[in-house]
Amino acid sequence: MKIRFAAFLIILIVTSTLSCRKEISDEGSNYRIRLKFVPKANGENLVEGKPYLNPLGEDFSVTKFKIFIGNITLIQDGAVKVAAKENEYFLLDAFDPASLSVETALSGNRFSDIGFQIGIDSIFNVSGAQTGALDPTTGMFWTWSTGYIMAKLEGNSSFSTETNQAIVYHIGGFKTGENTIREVVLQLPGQQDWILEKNNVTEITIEINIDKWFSSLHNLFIASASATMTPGELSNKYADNYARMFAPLSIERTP
Amino acid sequence: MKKKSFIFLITLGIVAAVAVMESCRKNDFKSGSSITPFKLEVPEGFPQPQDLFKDNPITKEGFALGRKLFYDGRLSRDGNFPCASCHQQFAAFATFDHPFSHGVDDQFTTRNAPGLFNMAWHKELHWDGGINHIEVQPLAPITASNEMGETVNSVINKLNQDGKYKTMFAKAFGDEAITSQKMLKALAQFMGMMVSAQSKYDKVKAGKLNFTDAEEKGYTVFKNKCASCHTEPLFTDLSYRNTGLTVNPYLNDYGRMRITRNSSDSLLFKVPSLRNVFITFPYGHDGRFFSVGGVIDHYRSQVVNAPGTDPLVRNKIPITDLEKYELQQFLRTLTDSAFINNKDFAQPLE
Repeated sequence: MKIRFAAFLIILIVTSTLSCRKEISDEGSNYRIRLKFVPKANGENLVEGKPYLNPLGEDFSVTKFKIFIGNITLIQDGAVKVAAKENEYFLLDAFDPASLSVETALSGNRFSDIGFQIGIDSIFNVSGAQTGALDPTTGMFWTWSTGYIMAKLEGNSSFSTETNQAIVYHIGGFKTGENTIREVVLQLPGQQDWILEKNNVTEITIEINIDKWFSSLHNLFIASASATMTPGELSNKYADNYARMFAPLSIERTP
Repeated sequence: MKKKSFIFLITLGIVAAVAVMESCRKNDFKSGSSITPFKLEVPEGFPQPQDLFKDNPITKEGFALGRKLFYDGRLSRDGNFPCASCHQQFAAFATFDHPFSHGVDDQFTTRNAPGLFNMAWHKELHWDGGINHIEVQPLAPITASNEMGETVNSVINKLNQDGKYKTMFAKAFGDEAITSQKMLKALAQFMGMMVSAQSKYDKVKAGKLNFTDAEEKGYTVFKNKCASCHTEPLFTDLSYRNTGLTVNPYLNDYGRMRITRNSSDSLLFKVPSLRNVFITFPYGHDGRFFSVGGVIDHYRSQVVNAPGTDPLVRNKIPITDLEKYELQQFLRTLTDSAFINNKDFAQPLE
């Protein structure tokens, strides 16, 4: 009787300890993946302030390029197989190397393609002050009409009609009809599925081709749009273009 | 003896189990501090407020922090423009007697500062409704170059140099790390608690006082001619309307259209509450009306029709001189002296 009761107490203590630990640890997310982004223009690594030529024949330089990505997923046979931690966002800054390498944990390991979202889900645009990557101090938040700037490109061009020949693109909008959130799916090289291994981080290097900001699905001439800072039709077009800036360069395992 | 050790064992076990569970709970709330819940009271007859505090439960500590921040000039670039410089308690938190408020470097704002009260009932903020949550509203005046002219990062740095703030952030949110999110949540708690519902009008409604004859008649005029937009009990239906104002040629402020980019929203501005109306002059988004009588005259005779002018004012509102007098007598009963004298909302003593 006494022993049985003592055993019960021990079980009680152990289970309460375990239930406690469960909430803290992120069990099941054993596979780690790192996305390393490399901003490029005219086929070379992007240099701050250096003049380039866009596919429309206009010169441009970049002094600022920031873009939000999040909700990384592993895709197999065209369907999402594993999603990383929900609502995990990263702010990529072309001129902050640390920001260009993002790592996440996943609960599954077999995939042929990788997916992620550009921009911040509408719920975080309407729920008050956020923190972490979504802290409004990053300068990616509009204060006149609440919402995140999903991507920002600033620089100069002789084709600009703005003061100091500036080019200023702050692209955002999350409501119906002006949604600048985009899904990106990148087919990875190789015929077979890729398999993540426990205790190894698999790194995928992804190019961000700045040229496509101006010309991919749409041709968006600097001469006719040197500055865009409100949601709407034009911002939607830049969003269509920024969804096409990404291309996988390589994939490798690092122990 | 056997029995004693048995009881001892049980006691030991329970104590251990409780201790473990307690340490668990502490982790969840990550606090060693005690917080005191503070309730937003919904006045009799008011609808339910917006669900603004689901992720930001109001506490005495959070409210006290928000109050200190609201009155702290360090939220502005030069230290002279706290929130309270444009939102003065004696004017129901509008700017008294100013069409536009002052910002850093001798600049003016471009819209009339609204009074702050019953904020928890507003789904959207600003004259054009551009702000969708009370927590993110302070980012607008803090960062506007003609208002507080500051960056949020710089504000956070300044607050970090003040040990008192570290203590207050720790008390309110469990740890002393100062972030923009916590600052904004504390300000939201302070502003969200501002409730104005103790005016003479409210006391008459509660059966504690009676209107004078003129006030009673004015209330009837109000109900017939004003209440469709200035709906009780908030005295605004929170909608956006074109009230027949011409565009201000210096500001070219088209109101709601800037937010929706829809031409049918040209010159639509949010319907302001008429609570405390007599102490929040001047009126209109650009403060063009200096008196309540001037606003009534606008609706009686000065409405300028444009495609988007509201049907309710399109044909002007017939109000006789006597009705104008009575209406003003009624509107005076909306002044809430308990609210503007409430020490809880006053500048905290250091």
